[in-house]
Order: sequence, then structure tokens, then C-alpha cells
Amino acid sequence: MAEADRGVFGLVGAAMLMMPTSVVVAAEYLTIDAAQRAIFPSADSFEPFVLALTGEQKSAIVGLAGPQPPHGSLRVWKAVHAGVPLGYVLLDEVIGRSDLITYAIGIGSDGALTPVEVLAYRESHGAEIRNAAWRRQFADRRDLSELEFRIDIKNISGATLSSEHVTQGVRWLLALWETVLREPSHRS
Amino acid sequence: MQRSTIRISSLLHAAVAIAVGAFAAPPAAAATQQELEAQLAALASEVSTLRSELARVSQEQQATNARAAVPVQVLGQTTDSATVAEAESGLDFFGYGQIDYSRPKDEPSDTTETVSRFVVGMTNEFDEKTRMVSELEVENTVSSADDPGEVEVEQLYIERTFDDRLFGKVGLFLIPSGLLNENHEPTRFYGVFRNRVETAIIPTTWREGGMLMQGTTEFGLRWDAGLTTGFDLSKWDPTSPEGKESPLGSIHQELALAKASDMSGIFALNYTGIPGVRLGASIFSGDAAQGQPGFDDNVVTLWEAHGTWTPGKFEFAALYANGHISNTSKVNLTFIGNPTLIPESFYGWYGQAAYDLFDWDGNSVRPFVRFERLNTASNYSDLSPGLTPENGPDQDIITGGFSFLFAQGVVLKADYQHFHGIGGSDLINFGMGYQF
Amino acid sequence: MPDFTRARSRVITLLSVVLLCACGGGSGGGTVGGPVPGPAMSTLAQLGEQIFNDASLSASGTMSCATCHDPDHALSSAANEPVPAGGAGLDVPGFRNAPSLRYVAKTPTFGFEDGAPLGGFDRDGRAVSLMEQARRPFLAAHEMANTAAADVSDKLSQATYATDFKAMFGNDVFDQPEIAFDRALTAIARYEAEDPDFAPFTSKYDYFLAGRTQLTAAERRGLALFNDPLKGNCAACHPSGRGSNGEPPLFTDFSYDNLGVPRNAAIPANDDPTYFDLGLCGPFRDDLATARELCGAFKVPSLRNIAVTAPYFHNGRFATLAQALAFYVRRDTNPEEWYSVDAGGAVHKFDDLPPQYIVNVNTTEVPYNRNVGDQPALTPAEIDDVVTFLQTLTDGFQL
Repeated sequence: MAEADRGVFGLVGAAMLMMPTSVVVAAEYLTIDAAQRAIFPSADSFEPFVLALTGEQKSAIVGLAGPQPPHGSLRVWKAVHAGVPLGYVLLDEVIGRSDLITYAIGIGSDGALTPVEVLAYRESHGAEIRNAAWRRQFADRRDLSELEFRIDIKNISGATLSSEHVTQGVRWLLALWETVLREPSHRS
Repeated sequence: MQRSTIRISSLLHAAVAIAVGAFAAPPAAAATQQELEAQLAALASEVSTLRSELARVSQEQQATNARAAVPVQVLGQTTDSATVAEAESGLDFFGYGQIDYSRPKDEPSDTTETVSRFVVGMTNEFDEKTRMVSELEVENTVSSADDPGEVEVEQLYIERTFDDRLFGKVGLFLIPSGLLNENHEPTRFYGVFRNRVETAIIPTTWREGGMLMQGTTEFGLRWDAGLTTGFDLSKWDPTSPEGKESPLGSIHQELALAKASDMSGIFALNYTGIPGVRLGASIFSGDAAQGQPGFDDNVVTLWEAHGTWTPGKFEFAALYANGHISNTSKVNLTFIGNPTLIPESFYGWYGQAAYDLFDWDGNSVRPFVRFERLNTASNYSDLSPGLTPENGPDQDIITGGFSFLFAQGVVLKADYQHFHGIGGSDLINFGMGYQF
Repeated sequence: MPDFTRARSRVITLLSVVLLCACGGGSGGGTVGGPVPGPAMSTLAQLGEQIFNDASLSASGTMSCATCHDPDHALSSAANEPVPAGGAGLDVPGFRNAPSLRYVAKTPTFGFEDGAPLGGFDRDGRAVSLMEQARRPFLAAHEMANTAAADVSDKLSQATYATDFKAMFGNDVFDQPEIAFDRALTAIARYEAEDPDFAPFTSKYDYFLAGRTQLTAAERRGLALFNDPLKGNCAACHPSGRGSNGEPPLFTDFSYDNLGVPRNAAIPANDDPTYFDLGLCGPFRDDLATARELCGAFKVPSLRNIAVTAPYFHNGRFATLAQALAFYVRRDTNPEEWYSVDAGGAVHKFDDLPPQYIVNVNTTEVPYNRNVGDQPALTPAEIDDVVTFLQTLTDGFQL
């Protein structure tokens, strides 16, 4: 087989392997694409980003973030516009009342949060967290001290568990960013 | 990833170009043997470079793909492996419970402690859009013919997610009325005991069977509309004081062989578009006569309005509820001579304030105070001079105490209650509760 | 201040009544709004009906149970005398007013609830069963005046239904007179329990409770006064409300009370100033003779059919309802209207009780809680309204 053929084979094979092999989220309200675009509208590409945290890093993050609800899957992308990184898109899942909420948030290169996007909400109890006004509370906050639940991020009476858990999740994502993502050049 | 692809294709192009170039040399040029050998050597070395580049790039490619294909579970394992198992099987459990101790200041011999409720909940996801929710409750610890407890199915429904913002429920579910009914777990309310307005006027925990649609809008409105079972006025016992304690509580059916010839409707609106504020109202109405002999056209209507506001560390709540039963004279005449006739109207309201006094690591100590006023028989329909019962007394209850919330789901509470209007001793209460 | 003992015993009574209704109700009773057509009476009960109406079973040959418990008179005495006369020549005077037998099967067994006496047949509750209550008049000298069981058995064997009696109990039943008498009493008890006429619930008030008729304004006023704990307070002992399962009220809680009813000079026994009818503690029952606080107490009777069962109280002292009600409300405000007055003008209040038992008289419950000079709990117009209401308690109302 000629080197060229191997190259073609490699190209096609690489393309196939690039596609996600397991469906992490059945995004019912927003597709991942739509969420990414909502978070960084000016980005032209989102590069999947791989994280491998050491045990030390994990405890440091939780130590910064505070108490956490059960989490589901985490995915991270780097948003790029014309070769310039804009920030990160972080997609996470937390338990609402009994079921997982899939949500995503953007953290800009300057550390500013975007509004939360809710991709999937699976139970009726606490569905109010999808209110635009509540999700917008996160925008432009930069520091964990600005993300106190009930003080900075108001709870939703009747959806207290869901709003508390998503807020705790966002705190964790910001702590993660501060610990391992802040320097744009860092990657495994 | 894309850089590597570009690399491969440019290499490929280069390789093809070289190959084509090699075979597409102009025939006129008389290449000497040495020139040909030199070109061949150059070709060979180019190919060798290409080969090693290709090998390196595809290795890199595969390594990256391998890592990208597996979703990174960073925190999943530290909390509970059950989460992973649940995601695969669809079955999940939840629960709450509370134990209360209550001591009447003037009657210490009536001090009681009990497992007020122990609730086990089970949900099952059949598929992404369909789930079952159930709750089984034991009240007062031991349930038997000789014991004071009760076991009941508190909820049992199938919920379907329809589209973007629409859910539907069919089965036995909580009525979206008031602040407490849908959020009645001990970590969700202040005070060892649930407030009297939402016990005696709105009969928390109020559940009915039927269908309910719930929708949310982008700007923060949530609406609920449903068709459900209602009350059964033939359960009214004029010889018992129960109707004076809670009119609707004494005639609720709890879907236990409920009479369903007359259904009721529920409509509720809740606005949470302003973060930290919730405003809402609901109305429930339906005939409670259920076709029973002697009862005719007795429509029970319960409407309420409520609001909460959490500025900074404060938390305020207020609620007003009003109930009405129509056409009670006819039935009341047949109850003459007994102590408890059916009221035409009853109402209650309360105002509550709480403050997040100490807050650390997700734990908090919150003192609160609440004032309630209710009247379980504010008006009786006219029977005849001397036969119409006197209106019930306004009951005023003032409660003050605090909650200590910790560990993301446990609460210890203490409070003091003073009653005015129906007598009864002041109460000193302690409670433990949890929710998960 | 309400008497909680009474209230509690009332609840217990209602519960017992429900139970007894289940046992002894049979056909034709227990539902508001009229008799429920039930199965025909059993053969035993039919036999009992014949015995009940058989005047040949008495010494005089003219007195049966029905003589003093007249089916046309709500099963009480048609005569207006306070106490009936019996014996062989119908000239031996009795001691107490014959009570109505309507609804008698609903009486609970005699006992004590929270220390208070309750139930039992006869005005002092001394008979524990319908059978035992039926036995005494056969043998009492002032009633049917048979000398012994053999006497009754003998008369039974010559009755028109003797063949049916033998068919039911055996051909040789009359060879054992005690047993024959016993069987006859069983039949009477069965008849009293099964005959719809003993518990018809066909009064106007029953139809009103069933929602099938309305009360007039005067009747409603009377009902209101009857129930009002500050006016008549009658419902405290004569409950007027339906039971929790819809059972119609019996207008008695089967408790006992001492009202200090004035002595009735028309009763010959009262000619002896040392004779006192003390109800629970004697002279016709002796098991409670030492319970001094119960002396003078008699069972609260049902007020059903009260309008047609004059005269009133255990000694038949009052001939009309208006008088009886006036006594209730003016007993203490105007005692001179009711009791004997001695030479010096002093009222001999509660003159039908020996002095040591006057303390037992009920003076705390409304309307007896007044003093001389106070306003009576009911005005004469109000008494009329209550009387009008009481007339709605007569069975046989035509819709």
C-alpha cells in the first residue's frame, strides 16, 4: 500500500474517530451546538478539550467551590475566533430534585461568566430554572465571592433544590477554571 | 485536530505532486543516468520523511481521539456510584422525614414526640421523556388497628415531557396551591410544624387524582391547569370536631376509593421572572356533592395568592387563602342539633420573615417569625333565626424560632408558639428533619 | 358550664345505640325519613304480638300489655290518670306513669360510664333486657296480677294461639310452666324488636331531617330554643341531632337525672308521708340502695311522641307539655307555683324527696341554674314555640 493510501486511510479514520462515540446528553431544549453558539456567538470553532485532573486538583476545586450535589458528565470546549481563544464552554450535569439537569456556561478569557444555558431538564419540579432572568444572574460575575447562593444568585421559591444545585455546579466550574484552565496555554 | 488534518492533506498533496511530477517529466529533456539516480535518491528521502511524519501525526491523532471519545467523569465517582448506576437503570430513590417533639406549656402531661412522617419516594425513568414518580408515607410511626399511625400513597403519577416547555402528569399528584403543598419537606419550611393556614385552610398535603399540564415561559411564568378528583361533602361528620379544625381536611378523599362523579379543576400561575421574587395564585373548584343523596350542587372553591421575596439575607413570605362551599343550608338543616355544621366560608393568611444569621460551608442558622390568622368557619349560610350557628372565632398564632440547616439536607428546628382565639396552651417544639 | 360527663356519656350512648340498632333493629327502623319496608315479622314475633294483646293473660281478664302500652297512643297509656290501676278488679293503684314503649329496643344495657348511670329498661333501669322488663307486669299485684308463672302458663295454654305456641315450643311446653312463661316473654321481646310500629321514625321532624319537608317558623324557633345551651338547653339530655352515620336522634341520652319533680298527691301511695319513690336507689330496685347520690334520679325518657303521651314525668305530675316546660324554667324562680307551702308560707321545695337527698337535685345545668327573682330561661311565648316544636316529634306524619 502506498504512503498516500495510508494517508487517506488515516484521514478518513481520523474523521470517524473525531465524532462522539457515546451520546452523553439527549439535548432536548438546546443542542450542544446551539448552546455553544449562544454562549460565544462570535466564535467560529469550538475545540473539544480534554481534562485529566489529579486527586489533589479535584480536592482543591471542591475546597474552593463548597458543597456539591451529585454531578453527571463534564465536557469542555475551547471557543476560538480567528485563532484567538475567547474562553471556555463548560457543559455539566447536576441533580435537580431526582433527575439530572444538563446545563452549560461560558467563562471568558478574562474570567467573566456568561448566562447559564439549560440544555435538558427532565422533571417538572423546579423547571423554573429555565427562566431567562434567573439564568442571566450569572453573567459578568468573575469571582466565587460573587456567586453566593441566595445572596448573589437568588433562589427560586418552589425550585430551591434545582436553583441551589445549578448554582453550586457553576461555582464548581468556576473553581475548576481558576485551578486548571486559567492559563490559556495549559492543556494535556 | 484540524491542524493535523491539514498536515496530512498537504503531505498527501506533496506526495501526489511529487509522484505525478516524477512521472510527468517532459520527455524531451535527456536526463543522464546520474541525474535520474539523484532524483530517485531525493524522492526516496522525501518519501521516508513523509512516512515518518505520517506515522507521527496519525499516532498523535489516535491518542487525541482515544481521549476525546470518553466523557470525563471528574466528580461522578466521588459522590456516589449510585449515580452512575441510576443513569443506566433509570431507577432512583428520594425521601424525607421528620420527628417532632411538642410540649404544651400549661399541660406538660400532653407532651408528645412522634415520627410525624417517614416518606420513601421512588422514581423510574422509562425513557428520556417518560418517568414515574411515587411517594409512600408512614405517619406516626406505627400503623395498625390499635396504633395511631397511617400508611398512605402520597403520590403516584406518570410524567411526560412534551416539548420545549411543557410537561404533563397523569395519576395522583400534589395540587399546585399555596407555598407549602408542593414543597412540604421539613427542610423547605420554617417551624417544627407546618403553618396552620396551609394545614387547616389549604389541606396540605393535598393531592388529587387526574391530569395536570404544566408549562413554563421564557420570561418566568409557570402555569398549571388540571382536571382532578375533588372533595366529598357526604364525609362531613356533624358530630365530630374535625370539621371545625379543618373543613377541607375533613372531607378530602386522598384518592382512596374516591367518589369521582364530580371532578374539579385547578388552575395556578406562578411568576418567578424577577430573581428573588415569586408571586402566584391558584384557584380550585368543583362540586363536592358527588351525587350523594341529600347533597346537591355543593361547589367547593378554594383560591389563594402568595408571594415570597428574598432580599439579601432576608426571606419574606406571605399568603392569603379563602374557601367557599355553596348551597350548605339544605344539608345543614338536617344536621341541626349537632355541634359541627358546614361553614359557607373559611379563610386564613400569614406573614413570615426569616434571616440567614450564620452561613458557612453550606450550613446555616436562620431565625424566623410568623404571624398567622385563620378562621375555619368565618360565615355560615342562613338557616333561621336561632338555628344559624355562630361564626367561628378568629384564631391568631404567632410562632418564633430557628432552623439549623446542615449537610445539604438535614435540619434541626426549635420554636415557640402562642395561640389566641381558641385557647390552648403555648407550645414549645423541637424537630429533626431531612430530605434527600 | 356544660356537664362534660353528660356530653361524653351522650357520645357513648349514641355509639351504643348504633350497635344496638344493628342487633335489635330488624326491619323498619334506623333510617331517617320513614320506615323501611322490611321482611315480615318472624313467626316468633307474630306470636309475641298475640301475647302482647291478649287480655286473658291477666287476673282481671281485661288487661294486656297493650292496655297500658296502647298502639293507638304511641304505646303508652291512653288514660289521663297519672298511674294506671290494675289487679283482679282493676282497683289496685300503681306507682309510676307507664312509659311509652316506642323505640324501647334501642335502650342500651344498664351500666356506668365515667361514673354516671346509663341505660336499662324501666324508669329506674332495673330490668336488664326486654324479656325481664316484660316479666314483671305479669306478676305485679297492681298490674296483671298473676300469682306465679304457673298462673300465666295456665292462661297461655287456653289462649286462642295455644296451638301455635305448642307448635313453636313443643307440645309439652305447658308441662313446665316456668319455661312456658319464659318462652312467652321471649316472644314478646321479639315482637318489640321486630315490629316496625315500635320504631317507625315517621314524625315530621324525621322527614325534616331527611330533607323532605320544612318546619314552620314557630317550629324552627322552638327547635332553636330547644338546642340553645343558654335558653332551653333541652338537647343536653335530649339530643336532637342526627348521628354521625345519619341515624335519626332518639331525643334521649339514656342518662339519669334528678329534677326534684313535685310530689303528686294523686298517687295513693303518696298519702303515706314516709313513702318516697327514689328511682335508682329504690324502692323498686335495691342493688343501688347505698348509692345515696343517685337517690331521686330517674332515666331520661325519649321525647319522641311526647305530645301524645301525657301525663309527664315518672309520677305523671303534669298533664300538659306547657306545664312541664313551665316547671323546667320556673322551678327555681317561682317555686311556690309548684311545691307545697307550709302554714308559715315557706315553700317546701323538692317535696318529693327526703331532706337528706335534696342535695342530689340538679341545680347547675341550664335552665335549672336560676334563683328566686331571676328571669326564667324561657318566656311563655318561647315555651309555646318549644311545645310547637315538640309536636313535630309525633310519629305518623303525612307528607
